[in-house]
Amino acid sequence: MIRPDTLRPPAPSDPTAEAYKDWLHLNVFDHVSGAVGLVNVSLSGAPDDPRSRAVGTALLHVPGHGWAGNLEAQGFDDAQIGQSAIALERVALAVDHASGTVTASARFPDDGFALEARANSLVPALAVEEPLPLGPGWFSWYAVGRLAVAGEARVDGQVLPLSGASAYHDHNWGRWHWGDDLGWDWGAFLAPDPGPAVILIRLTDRDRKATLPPALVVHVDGGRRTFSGPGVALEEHGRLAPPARGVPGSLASLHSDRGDPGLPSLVRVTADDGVDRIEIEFRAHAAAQLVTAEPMRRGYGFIHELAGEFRCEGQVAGVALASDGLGVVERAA
Amino acid sequence: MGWELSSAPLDECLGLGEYIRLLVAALGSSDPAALSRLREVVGERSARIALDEESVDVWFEGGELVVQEEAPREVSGTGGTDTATVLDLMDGYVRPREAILDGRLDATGTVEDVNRMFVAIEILLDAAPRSPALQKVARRFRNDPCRSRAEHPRRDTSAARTYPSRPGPGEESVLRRLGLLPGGPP
Repeated sequence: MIRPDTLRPPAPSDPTAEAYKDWLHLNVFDHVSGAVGLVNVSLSGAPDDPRSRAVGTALLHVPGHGWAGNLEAQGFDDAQIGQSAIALERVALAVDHASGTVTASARFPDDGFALEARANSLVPALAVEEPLPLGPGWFSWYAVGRLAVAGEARVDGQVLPLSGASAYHDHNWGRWHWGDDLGWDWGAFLAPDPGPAVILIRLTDRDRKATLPPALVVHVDGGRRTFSGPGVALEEHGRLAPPARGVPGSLASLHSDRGDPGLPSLVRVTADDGVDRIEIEFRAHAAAQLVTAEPMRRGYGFIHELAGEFRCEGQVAGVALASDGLGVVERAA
Repeated sequence: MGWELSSAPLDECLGLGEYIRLLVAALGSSDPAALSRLREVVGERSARIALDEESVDVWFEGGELVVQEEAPREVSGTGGTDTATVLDLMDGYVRPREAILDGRLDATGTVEDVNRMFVAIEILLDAAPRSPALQKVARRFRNDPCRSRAEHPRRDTSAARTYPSRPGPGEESVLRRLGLLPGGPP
């Protein structure tokens, strides 16, 4: 069982309903193949407005193959929306908090891609219920830092068994508009179980200047340790090739000028509070670009997913760390 | 003339001209201001649009869209591609720059006319996230049995996804072909 949680649709009288956002998210890290993927289902806009959209995204980066998967969008009425589940025609994600299970599926036959994953939580959930400022809006966060995965992915006929893979799950909700002066850096770095799972979050403006102190959450040896404030530092080095995939393609085409956002090939994260210390070096292999759009007024956001590998070293809660694993860094602006 | 999606069964193939009519009708019903901008950008110009083996001439007359499948006329510019490229663009496997460099997307005319053609396309793309009607047309195209992925498989782009400080060989070849490099056409 994990801490209960539900989608947070606005009340009918909520004057901020048109800025409503709700996201359910699962990242999968297959330590055997090196594949790194995401399944995301989201709701955007006032529930009673026919322009509001449910969006499902499933992308998997497979070394030697590239990005597989795609994105779909539907009206709220065409999606099945539950207490903690969103199912579109091709992408679905459901969370059962009683059993601590996240179930995700995606089917994009035209892209030669399918994924079925059932992930069971291995660590307690972290919940930040109070609204955190995000540009002129706000968001809240619920995260499970490590889950064990069963299932498989299929990419152009190749089967990737996912048993042995690690996963990360989160739920974000709040009120914001894409295109506002907001952004974030987020990362998940998971060594194979029982190694560490590390989550990074830093809220920024659209120029990527931090608006709140960054935080780093480390799950290790059954415990959780959180670093925050000036003791957490990010460095970026090198330059990654432009995103090989931009979805939806129509919006990536509309914003061709954002085709090469100057993403780093190496991200170094350090955290030190005088007692514990950790250093993570993440090497990105490839990036994908998700272009998000407001359904009720003009506005766009650009989310970049960097898939790659990491190595971490340090000492946390008396445990010496020296682990390798897979990671994803997400940059939004 | 009203062009409603509901009048076209989902399992029926639609032609290029019908899709253009559907797109403009959907834009007008969901975002009349965007349609006004589209008319303003196009003005008196006409274009010949080709998709696979189909070709139509389009222009606005008295504010109404005219799509003519028959006899070719004098047009201000042309644009042509194929269904596989449209699907690859919709799925994000290729961006317009790469499609042009790969010779999969062609646009001809004066700089002004070509620019206005692309601005017209941008108006449609920009309106789409706020227009369920336009999204429906995109789904209709994707579900069109004559536009299936099986018949129009995705193709890898050969153009580099980089933006070098000077033109790469592909870009240079296109510029040379169009006589846009110093010294004019070869």
